Amino acid sequence: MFTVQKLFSKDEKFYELLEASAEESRHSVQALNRVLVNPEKIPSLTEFHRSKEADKHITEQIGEALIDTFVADLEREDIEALSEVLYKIPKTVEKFAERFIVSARIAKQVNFSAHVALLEKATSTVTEMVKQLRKKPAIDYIKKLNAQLQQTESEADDLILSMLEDLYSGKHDGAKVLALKDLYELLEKIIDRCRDAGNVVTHIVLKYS
Amino acid sequence: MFSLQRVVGEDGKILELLQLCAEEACHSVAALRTLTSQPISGASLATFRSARKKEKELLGSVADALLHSLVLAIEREDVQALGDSLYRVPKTVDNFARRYIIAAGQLKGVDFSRQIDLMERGCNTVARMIRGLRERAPIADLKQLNANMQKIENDADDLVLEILGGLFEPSVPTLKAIIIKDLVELNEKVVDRCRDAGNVIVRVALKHT
Repeated sequence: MFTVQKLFSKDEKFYELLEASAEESRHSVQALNRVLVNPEKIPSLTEFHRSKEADKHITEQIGEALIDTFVADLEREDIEALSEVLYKIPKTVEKFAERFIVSARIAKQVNFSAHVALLEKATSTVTEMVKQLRKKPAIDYIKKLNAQLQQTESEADDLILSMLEDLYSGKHDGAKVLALKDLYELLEKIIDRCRDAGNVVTHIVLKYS
Repeated sequence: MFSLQRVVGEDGKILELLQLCAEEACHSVAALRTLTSQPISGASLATFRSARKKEKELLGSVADALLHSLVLAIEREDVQALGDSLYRVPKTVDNFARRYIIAAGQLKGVDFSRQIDLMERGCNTVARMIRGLRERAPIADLKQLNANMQKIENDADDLVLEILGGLFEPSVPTLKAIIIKDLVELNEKVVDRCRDAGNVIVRVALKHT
């Protein structure tokens, strides 16, 4: 087989796996958003667990492929960094779902619509950025997408602060403050992981620009 | 020849930028002391935002310098690890300040000065260590500074335990305990990041002796 073609096909495999991982992260967030828009219904952990396990499997496949592959279009460290950070998205989503279930009595009274919108925006942007990698995009375009992601993350920071302001006001009992603070911080963490993924993609594109 | 000379020769610009980052981190902690020692009315977040923004710009310049340097004596991963740790100082301080302001009503009489003392010592030690790298200080001096840093971090851990012990007294209202625990843990993170930075600096110095 023509060697360059062989090398090329291996790179394609990494792009496919990274895209699959980003898609899996997005699915887990979409499942979470379905829960958050209808908090009255106690969710099942099955879908979140399946999503996390699927992403874990993809991350393992990437790790194994990196051992077998001598040359990749992308640097090994960058592939590892991106796959690790993408895996943390469904992992944190599952953790949120677990806490949501155990604190359902309190959590179901909360309006999470602002979080839903930010989560949707963040994961869509990450998926788009990862899909762009194989197209060798212009750095300006990736920087623009990353700036959108940073903006979403900054809005998430402001959102948690306004939520904390309410929790710290003295209107709520201690158990409610503890449970909701925990949930808000986990939601913020999901968006932080999206931001991290965006930073890694930008770093990769910068290297090749 | 002692190879730190090479580090300084080729990577001087990166070290200079990192030193500015460390100094910016010191400024943000100094601003925190001012915030916590004055009446809360009229408190402004502008200084914290500006420190965080400046730090981000400096790290952007570090990233550009890394991308455009063909030969580096300091490994890129070390520069990135150091930059990440330094960036988290003003970021965490900004988080603290925002939460401190919204929770001011619950924080009357609470004294954070002992933690801030340790944060200041941590930041100043990191700045001295980076200056030491730039000025080709003997490895023994850098190791001594890092030992001081470990001591500061240990003291910060002990202080957190002491404060938490007080919060678990039945006389402390639950909400107040939750808020103080949150704030104290943020401050602890600042010292942890200084410790991380110190470890990276010593690693860099050791690699070049």
